[in-house]
Amino acid sequence: MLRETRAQCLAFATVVVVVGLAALFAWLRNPPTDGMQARAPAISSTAPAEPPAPSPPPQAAVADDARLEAGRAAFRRLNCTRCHAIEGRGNPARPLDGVGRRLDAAALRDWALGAGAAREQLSSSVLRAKARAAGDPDLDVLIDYLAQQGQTSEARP
Amino acid sequence: MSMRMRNRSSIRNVLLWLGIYLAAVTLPMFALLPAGVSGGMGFAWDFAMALGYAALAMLGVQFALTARFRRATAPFGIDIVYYFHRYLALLALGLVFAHYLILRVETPAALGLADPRNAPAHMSAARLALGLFVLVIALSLARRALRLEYERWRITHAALTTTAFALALWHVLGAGHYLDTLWKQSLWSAYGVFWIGLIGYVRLVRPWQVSRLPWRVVQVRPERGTVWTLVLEPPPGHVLNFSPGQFAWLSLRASPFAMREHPFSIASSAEHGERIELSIKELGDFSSTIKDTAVGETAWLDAPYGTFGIDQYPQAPGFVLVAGGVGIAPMLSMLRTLADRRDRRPLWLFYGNRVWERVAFREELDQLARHLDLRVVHVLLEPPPDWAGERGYITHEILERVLPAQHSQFEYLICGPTPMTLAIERGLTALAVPAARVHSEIFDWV
Repeated sequence: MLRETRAQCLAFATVVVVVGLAALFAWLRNPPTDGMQARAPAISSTAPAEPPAPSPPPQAAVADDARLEAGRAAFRRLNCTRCHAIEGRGNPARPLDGVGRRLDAAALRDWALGAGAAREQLSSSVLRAKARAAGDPDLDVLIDYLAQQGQTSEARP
Repeated sequence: MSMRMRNRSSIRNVLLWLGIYLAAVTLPMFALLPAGVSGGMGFAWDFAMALGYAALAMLGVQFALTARFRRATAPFGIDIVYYFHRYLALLALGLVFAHYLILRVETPAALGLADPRNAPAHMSAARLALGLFVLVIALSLARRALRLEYERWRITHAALTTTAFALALWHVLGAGHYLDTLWKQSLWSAYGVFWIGLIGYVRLVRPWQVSRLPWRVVQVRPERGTVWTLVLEPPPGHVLNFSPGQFAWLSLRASPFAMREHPFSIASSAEHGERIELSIKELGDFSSTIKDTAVGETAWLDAPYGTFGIDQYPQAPGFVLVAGGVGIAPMLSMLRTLADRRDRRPLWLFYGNRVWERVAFREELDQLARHLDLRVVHVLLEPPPDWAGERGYITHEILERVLPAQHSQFEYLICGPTPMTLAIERGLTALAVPAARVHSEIFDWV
């Protein structure tokens, strides 16, 4: 067997093992059962200390659809979808479905702007990206929209 | 140490270094497993991410493969390591494309906009890195076809790969999937910096070590067949300890920092490390400038390297050397060494050339045959009219005709053009010589 062929076989065998290990990695992160539930505690563990799900103010629950729609538009317009997804739209790496159940409006605002306790947890490039949302006229509807996540899905028709 | 033990320990070495490779590529990835912000995102997503991380790690190790670490290249031979480097580059690029395509198909939103004015910088860095990697590989594969000068290509290669790797690292740290804790970020930053530091070692520290030992050209001697022998001496008090068949990286008329070194087999006896000879055939580019070297010039040597040669098999009952053209250089080193050691083992040299007048070292080979139990068999492609010897290419029929019946016990060393090496390896299989006894060195691996 010529040495070049030997090197070729060696390289192919190595890459097969590497791809196999990558598949193992993916499989270990996606256990066959309740992959979704594994995520929730993981998120709250890194979020700043927060009281367990403060009950939302009643007016949030009755937010009208137009306001919700404006928040959804702002979520896209302010490029939140680069890093986050809601209802499967946007970057699925960091979904925000149900975030309203975990964070109250004040914490959501901190996370959206990279302020307060959230500031410690974010890298400088993320902070720069988030700072662009500060002072945006739609910030309030955005926060409302986020606060609705996980609240109204069952209540709404 | 018996032959069998040697083979077993070398297989163990091969497995050990492959294990180290796999660990270097996949352990940093598995270190990300402890759950963080993002739990399971679906198999396709996590698989794509793992492929990306593994590909970056593989591209990092690429720098180590060509860094000439003797211990790591010894079990394989440096030519295999360079081929490994070449194929792994292609395969790692394949993984990068798989990483990209899976995301393109499964979660296009995650890729965001391609327009660099709107895309996050780390995503543009990834696109640029991918383009640079494709360029690097295309340039490397087409270097000969493009007639790209070796030295210029090497500098381009080092610059482009370092840039592309840094961009890819930026992408990973910027995208930051799984890098949700400080220690994971630190781990991957350190991992990337380690490989970039390695480039610094190879390009600065190693040349600096070489530069502290200037060799001197003491003779430039013409041989038959446009081969030039360069005789070099180290600074007083130094000797080069090498085994016959090994090679040296030579820099002439350029500083060791200039990345202008070329690999050549050492042709002189390993018993005389105080004065070494490199026999170099004119093949265009650098090798054709050897004859213009002046006596007294400074030469820089990074040596010795390689695992080709008789000293790998100290228990062999005899050796069969097969050389084509300038492939004689390492064989000459072995024969000269054996003569100096007064070795009495039976030796055969099959030496293929085109024309009798251009058979380099043929007079010295006659002399060596008088001091050694050596039979030289010249095989000529265009023999003179009165030629009584072998003609054509070296074939297994010729080997069979000349070698004794117990020929399968000997160790076979082959050095010459790749088609010749291939043909001889096939021929020896036909002669029932075990593959473990057949050793070859490829000339044109760079």
